[in-house]
Parts: sequence; C-alpha cells; structure tokens
Amino acid sequence: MKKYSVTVLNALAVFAALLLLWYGLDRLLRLPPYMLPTPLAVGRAVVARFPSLLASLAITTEEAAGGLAASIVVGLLIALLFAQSRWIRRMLYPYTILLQTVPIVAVAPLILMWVGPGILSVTLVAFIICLAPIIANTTQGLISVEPNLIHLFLMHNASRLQILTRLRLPHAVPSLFVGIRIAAGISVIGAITGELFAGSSRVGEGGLGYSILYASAQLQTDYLFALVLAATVLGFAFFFLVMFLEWYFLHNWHESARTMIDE
Amino acid sequence: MVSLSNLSKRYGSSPPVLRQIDLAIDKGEFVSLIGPSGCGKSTLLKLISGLTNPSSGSILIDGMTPVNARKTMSYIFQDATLLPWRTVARNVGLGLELEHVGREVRKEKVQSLLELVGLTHVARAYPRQLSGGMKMRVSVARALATTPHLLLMDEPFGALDEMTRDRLNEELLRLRAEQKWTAVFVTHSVSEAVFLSTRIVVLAPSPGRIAHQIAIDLPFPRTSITRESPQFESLVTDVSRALRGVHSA
Repeated sequence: MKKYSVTVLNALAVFAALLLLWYGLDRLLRLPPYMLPTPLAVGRAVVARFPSLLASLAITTEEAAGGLAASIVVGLLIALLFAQSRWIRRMLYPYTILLQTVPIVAVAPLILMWVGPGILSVTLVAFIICLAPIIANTTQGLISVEPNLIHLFLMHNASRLQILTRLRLPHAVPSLFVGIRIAAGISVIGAITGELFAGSSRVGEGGLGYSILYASAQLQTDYLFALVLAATVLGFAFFFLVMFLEWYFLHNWHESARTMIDE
Repeated sequence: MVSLSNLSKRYGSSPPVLRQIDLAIDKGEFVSLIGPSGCGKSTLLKLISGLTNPSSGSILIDGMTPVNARKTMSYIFQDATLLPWRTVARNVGLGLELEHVGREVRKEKVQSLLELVGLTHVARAYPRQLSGGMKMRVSVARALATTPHLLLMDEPFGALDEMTRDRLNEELLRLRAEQKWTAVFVTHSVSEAVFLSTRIVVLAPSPGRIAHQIAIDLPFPRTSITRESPQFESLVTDVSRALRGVHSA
C-alpha cells in the first residue's frame, strides 16, 4: 500500500512538471490562444462550460460503457462457442483477427449509414472495437486448462457442462479480465471515433467527439483542450474501475492480482 | 481386483510403449511400478484409469471396464492439481461435488478428511498459500473423499524433498490401514517403493514390459524404524539390482 501511494505521488509530480512545461512554452513562444491556450485558460473553459462539458462526457460514457458491456457479454458467448471445438476455432478465428485489423475509422461511417446517427450507432462502433480482445483472451483462458485437471474431472465422471462451469470458466476469469482491461481503454476511443461521424445525437449537444469537432471548427482551442482532458479522464476511470474489479474478484487466488497490489 | 491381460499400447505408428502386459492385482495389495523413464509405467496407470485406451488386450477392474469402474477409483497426479480459486476445503470436496453428493454429507466428509490428513487449520486457505507437501496432502484428501476401492498414484511425492516425502509415505500407510484401499503406485524411488509396497513390479523399456516382480514381505505397521532394518536394506538392494539389470539390457 505504501508503494502504491509512492506511485501515485510520482504520477502527480510528472503531471505538475508537464503543466509547468506547458505554461513555460506558452510564455516563451507567445503563441496565440487558438494555437496553444495556457493551462489557466483551459481551466477557465472547464469552469465556464462545465454543464455542457459534463453533458458531453455523460453521453460518451454511456456509449463507451454500453459498447464495453455488450462486448463482454457477446465476446464471452463467442469464446464459449470457440472453446467447444478446434474445428470451430479454425473456421471462425480468422474473422476475429479481421475484426481487430479493420480500421475503425473506415467502418464507423458505414455503421452510421446503416443504423442512422445516434447513441445506438456510436455504441455499436465502441462494441465492435472492444469485441476482438475479449474474444481472443477469453478463448485462450477457456482452452488453456492443464490436461491433468481435465483428467481429474473425468475420473470423477464429470459431465461436459461440469467441466465448463467448474473448471474452464473459472480458469478463464483472469484472461477475461485481461481482455476487459484492453477493451475498457479502447471503448472510449471507439465511442469518440463514432461521434466524429455521428454528429449531434440530441438537438444542440453531442458526445465528446462531436464537441471536439465543433470546438475545433470554432477555434475554441481552450474548450478543445478541456474536452481532450475529459476524454482522457474517462479512459483512466474505466481502466481503474476494471483494475479494481479484477483485484476484488481475483486477489484471493490469482498471481497477477497479487503482484499488481504488492509492486 | 485389477486384471490386465495381453495388454499393448502404441501411439500411432510409433513402436509400442507397452507390449503384452499380464498383471493381476488382488484386493488389499499395494503394488508399485518402477522402471527407467520410457518404460511406460505412467501409461500403464492411465490405461487402468481409462484415461487412455489400450491398442489391444483387456483391462478389467472388479469385472468392469475402467470407465465404468471410475466410481470406485481415485487418481493422484504428479502435481497436486488443485483448483487455485477454491479453498482447501472446497478442493477436498470437489470429487464429491462432481458426483452429486449432497451438501450436508459433503461437509461432514470433508471435515473428517481434513482431520485425517491434519489440515483442519488451513481449511479456508487458498492453495497458493500452502507448501508443496501440504498441497499434496490436500490432493490425497480429495482422492480419498470419494471412498475409493482403488487408488492410482502417479509419482505423487516425486517433487517433494526427502523428509517431506518420507513423512507423507508414513501417513499414506496409516490411511491405508484405516481405509483398506488397494493401490497402484508409480515411482522413481526404490526406497519409497520398498517402504510402501506389498509387491514391486519392475518394468523394462522399449517396449515397456514386466521384467521382475518382487514381493515385499516387511511386516505392517511400517514406520521410520522400518527403514533402518537390515531386511529393508536388503530389499532395497534386490530391487536396485533388478532395476540395474533392466537399465543395462
């Protein structure tokens, strides 16, 4: 726990140093505010436009969280299917890789065209970008059970279902969390990418992505910075939430969870 | 109890791992399989358990096929094979749970087994908190929880230090005296085999076959003092000599 607080202090110190550097650069180069606003100007923009910033943040949170949640449910189901036989994996696994390699910026406009602009289509973009890491990691966890553990279950006449629910699934939980951790980070990227194409989902307001487009078109660079900051904070929040859940569920028995807290 | 006749096993088109094994094991015996690596002793154990099928020949356990006889067997593996997400008590109860034994009966059985192997104080601990010897004890308790008639053990104490191994050997014999199961035990250690067994089967490699059978008539109960007796020493010498003959052949 002591080490943990040192880590936090270190991170905060770096943050403070970056702020100073930014401020110094601003004073030194005397850039116009629409090129590089001062940290203070960004702070003022946060305060002045707090309600709309919060509204944008809420929309993006909803989309990213929705996409992430859906990808966990669907990804787990697909992984369960993949774990059933090597043939299914051989046939379908290439498409998971496809899912991972297709550039999301290229697919987002298509989805918006098909589904229509709005929260649903943006959630769908986030969902697609989250799906591959969940499937890949969970499948790996389900099939990498030690053969002797399977033998042990077979010696007690365990059914296929018992092997799945009492052996493969619990064994896959740490891998599932690895997948969720990756997905949580990129879900925010997915949602913002979707919003860049979605426009305003409600009259007069949109998510962070929409507001970023709007602010940049209006040369409201200070607010643009505030929005980027909000997006970063959201990504961090997701990441730490998942880390906490991982610790909560695994700290009793899993090595990765233990070393994560100790170091 | 166990009868193997004309048993052969080969994987694909490679030379046979085991060839024409004939072996009968009576109820109450403690038979150790010993031999150089590649002699197929672990394969023989897997065949008796039905985890792998013979290429030819037959295996009968109390007149049943291995798969049908599984209810009366337990298998103890080389490593403890505990489920890391379950506490010690829930690991011990795993076999009972898989065989649909009710919660109350299960709880009672687990309790008495933990007492029997001296693990009551760590019932709620997780496997990663235990030493290698304790993990193996949990594994033994789990195997005994389903009250097997036949216990199959594949070098269960091979990874432990000698002191721990000796102590667990003594405990194993104490449990056997109370519960009267029949045992087939695979090991690399001559002294372990002599200490535990009523009979030692020495296997020769490529292809795996029975080279010698040596009856161990040391009286029970056997304790640490047994290891110091001249009779024990001479049996160890006999078995070692048989094993050397197999090696150099």
